[in-house]
Amino acid sequence: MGAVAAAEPVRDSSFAVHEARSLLVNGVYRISAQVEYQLGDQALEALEHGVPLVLEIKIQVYRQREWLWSEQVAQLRQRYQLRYHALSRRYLVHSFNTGVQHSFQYLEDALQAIGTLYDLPLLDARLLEPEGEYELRLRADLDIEELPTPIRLWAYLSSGWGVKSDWYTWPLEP
Amino acid sequence: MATGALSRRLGIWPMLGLFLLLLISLSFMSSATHNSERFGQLYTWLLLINALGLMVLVTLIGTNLYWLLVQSRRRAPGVRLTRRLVVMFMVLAVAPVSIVYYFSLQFLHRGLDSWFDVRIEHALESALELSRSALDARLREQLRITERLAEELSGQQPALIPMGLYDLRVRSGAVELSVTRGDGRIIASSSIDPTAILPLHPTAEIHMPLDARQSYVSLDPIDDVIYVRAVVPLRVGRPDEERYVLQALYSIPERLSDLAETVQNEFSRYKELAYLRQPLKYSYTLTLSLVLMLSLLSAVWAAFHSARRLVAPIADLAEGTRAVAEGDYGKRLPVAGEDELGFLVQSFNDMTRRIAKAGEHPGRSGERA
Repeated sequence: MGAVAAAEPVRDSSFAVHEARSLLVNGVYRISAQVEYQLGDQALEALEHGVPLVLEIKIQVYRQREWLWSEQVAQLRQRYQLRYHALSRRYLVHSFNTGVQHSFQYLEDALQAIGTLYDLPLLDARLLEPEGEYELRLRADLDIEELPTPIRLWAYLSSGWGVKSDWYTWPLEP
Repeated sequence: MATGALSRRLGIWPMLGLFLLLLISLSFMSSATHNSERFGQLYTWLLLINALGLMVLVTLIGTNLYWLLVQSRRRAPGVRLTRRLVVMFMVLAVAPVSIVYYFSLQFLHRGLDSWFDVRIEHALESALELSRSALDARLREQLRITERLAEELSGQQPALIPMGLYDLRVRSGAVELSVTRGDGRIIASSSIDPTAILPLHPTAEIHMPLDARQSYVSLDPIDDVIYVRAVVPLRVGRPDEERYVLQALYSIPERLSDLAETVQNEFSRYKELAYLRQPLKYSYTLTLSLVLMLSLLSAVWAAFHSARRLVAPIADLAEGTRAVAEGDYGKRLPVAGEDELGFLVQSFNDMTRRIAKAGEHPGRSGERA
């Protein structure tokens, strides 16, 4: 058994932010980003068995201060639920922010749709100080708290579940 | 010394409080395992509370053990009896609890396994397959209708398409018809719902079969209602012009949709439960083991507590009789309560008092004799 398990390494999930940028349009900062989601064997198995997964993109705005640590001024979370619909053999993506649901035949397409942020309004430029230096941070992760209770404890302990991308940071420029 | 006095004054109440708190949090934990919605969010916290509570218990027992060790080294009176009583109480408590734990675990695992039956799984898979094949005929029929619509539309100039679309939709019985360009831009749409200004976009993957100039039909669940979505390539204008796509959304009869959705939901639920069987077993075993630990540790602590309380007057008496044997009649012992031991201590005190009095007035007692 051990030899067989060793021969087939378990693939872990990996999330990566490929690109993110912000644009000031009519006094509102808008964000576009591309996140690559790769689900590992554990997550895929759960998904195929009807366990919904919640994927989250967290965007934070920090004001940089000279002597103190940076101060968080705004945060936006984009949450999506991904689940498998066995009857139609399709993957359903439900956005918690907009309430809209889309369905996809292929998982890759569903993940690409979740990972694409396009022109998302982030914050009003008037809320920022004109002289302030601001930094944007963006990260994608899988929300363990939304998993069914029996697997949550193991999800905390195993590396296959608690997957997060690195923070992608860039300066906020008008 | 001060903590000893405090703990004597408070008695067993703090311990009882801790025990109850842990018991309540354990019962929450077992509810959370069973039903994620109720205490699911608290699960991690409950686990932490229990771990901390058990650590407090272990510390208390450790203190008691240390006390027993120190007393043993000093050969304090009553220490051997305390040791024997502690061991006896522990054996009395641990043995039945362990037996109950072992059998509960057996029942738990067998009970969980009996939920899942290969035959039920087959039945559900068959029900799902049956639903699919019931809908398959409809899918093919609606793809055919959409292809016919596409034939009617092809050859028309793009500018003229929006005009005929309403008529086509009504004739085909579609909920929604739309014509989009290859890049996804909508050029015309007609919907049964007059408030829907925009049709639902064909998603990226729908374009894929179209690249190979193929039609595409599938079930599409939208807000818990199952629709049929057919996508057909459209030749408009000259052959070398940009590709167009006709997309149609058909509803299926309510009864069929409801039944199919029920089958889908139950299948999904069963699959999820079957997948969660092993983690569920672990979680229940964990909760049960925590209950076992709580019971065992409380029993051990109670063994120490009772043994110390029982032995205290006996140790006093042992010390008192030793003092009397050495000729010290002034020894008085603290009264231990109203039970037989208390009575014994009281009698001892009376006895030493009388002996002491007799020692002070030896003549009078001699006269009376």
